[in-house]
Amino acid sequence: MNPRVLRWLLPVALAVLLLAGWQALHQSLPPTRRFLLPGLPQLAEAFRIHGPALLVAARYTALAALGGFILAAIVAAGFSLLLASSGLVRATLYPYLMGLQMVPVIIIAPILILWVGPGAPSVILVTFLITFFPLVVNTTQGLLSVDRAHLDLFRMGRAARWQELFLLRAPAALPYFFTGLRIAAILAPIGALTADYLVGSSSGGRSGLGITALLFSARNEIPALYATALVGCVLGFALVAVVSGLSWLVLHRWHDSYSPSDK
Amino acid sequence: MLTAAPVPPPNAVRLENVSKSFGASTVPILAPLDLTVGAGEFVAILGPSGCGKSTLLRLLSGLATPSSGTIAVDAHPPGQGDDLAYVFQDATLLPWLNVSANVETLLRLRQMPAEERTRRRDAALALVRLSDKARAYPRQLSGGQKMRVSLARALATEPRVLLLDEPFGALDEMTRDRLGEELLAIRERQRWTALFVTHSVAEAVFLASRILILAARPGRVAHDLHIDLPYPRNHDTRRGPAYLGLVADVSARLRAVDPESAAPVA
Repeated sequence: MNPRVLRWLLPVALAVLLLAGWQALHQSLPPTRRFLLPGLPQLAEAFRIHGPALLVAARYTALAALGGFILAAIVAAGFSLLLASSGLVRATLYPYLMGLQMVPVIIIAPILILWVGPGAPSVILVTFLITFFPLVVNTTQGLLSVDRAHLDLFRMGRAARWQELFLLRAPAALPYFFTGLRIAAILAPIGALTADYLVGSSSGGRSGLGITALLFSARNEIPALYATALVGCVLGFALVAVVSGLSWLVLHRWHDSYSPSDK
Repeated sequence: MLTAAPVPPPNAVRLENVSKSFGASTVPILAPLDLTVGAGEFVAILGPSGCGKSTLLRLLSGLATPSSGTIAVDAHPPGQGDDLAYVFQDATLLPWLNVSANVETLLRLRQMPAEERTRRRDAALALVRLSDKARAYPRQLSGGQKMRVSLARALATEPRVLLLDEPFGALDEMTRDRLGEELLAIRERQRWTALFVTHSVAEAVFLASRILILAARPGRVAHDLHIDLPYPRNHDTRRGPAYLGLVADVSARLRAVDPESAAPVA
């Protein structure tokens, strides 16, 4: 069969199989336990009832995730350039960067609310904290992994330090930066959702998927919880898709990961 | 009454008592070396591995500093002045730039005005006959084409001294021969001085007006040979008895200085 068709057909076939499996699993449970895994009709019903509310919440979470994600990408790019500029700077700052990642968000969330206020600012800040580290680690690695021969070329050309950084190291680090962005894109919606759950504010109807899940959980609405999880999943996919598109735009002309022989 | 001293022929490269050791190693990679290369000479450098061929080029380019002695390239200390260009063993093109931008890289580092940059880039691409590939990216090029872009990048700086470190070493023999012929054709139009490190005796004899055979441990000049084949040389040169005789002679001398060479040298 045509491999291009196969590339679309197989995932779709798997989706159908998984949904059928889900429904079969639901029906194999004893009736008293079926609420743990609602059937497909119940899920559809949950989407029908809560769809509009989920959409509003998803939009709120998506914006917060995007905000934290973009903020992290910008700050991480600048911070990585700083780290790459000298080994001494790296040695000095790296332990604290690690420390930042070690901080248990669940514990400092209440403190963050006190700092920046409840709602969107805290959610964006938590998303930032979660996505910052993989971005910096990858980008810095890229900035440092420059071909020795290219460095020789630039030294021969008597390049200034800023020229070496911006004309050689920065473009060479782009593929690494995009790897970081992909990881961050997966983490960002999870981060925003968790943050919303922990520090969100339901006042004034400004609630994201986290608070929505909290309410469904309190009311024991299991199908609605599944629906919320699915929506969060879709957010993650959407952000990863956007990053993949951007990555293709920037890299496909020259980077080996997009070489025609791979397709 | 005093008469002005005759002006000596200009020297492109001058090394006095230059040596190079790495770390605490007892045998220097280069023993104290005196070498003068006149403007317009094409010097090929042959020698067994470890004789310091590449080190010599790195010293001249300023990428490495000598342990002793003084070096002048076109009357500058190495690493100063804009009259030297280096062609590396690999093409070392920047994969994210197209051919045009790659050729302009060194000019951009000098912050040359765009107009002049464009003029030189176009001229250099025409010299290596790749004007039609200006917008291609390196990965779309063959090995030979990449090397020609690399050469164009060096030529765009309009060098007076060109250092070439086994530039065609990774290419197949046909491509290597053709690029050698093109290099000489370009030199007919732009009279730079060349120092060309190679493993191939045939290539050295074909290209060079002078061949240095270095010996190893410590690196030193074992033979300094004048190659008396008239320029312009072309494909037919390779079939002449004079050329073949020189290749045999240089091969024999190279084998004599290479302690490890039991196998014939190509």
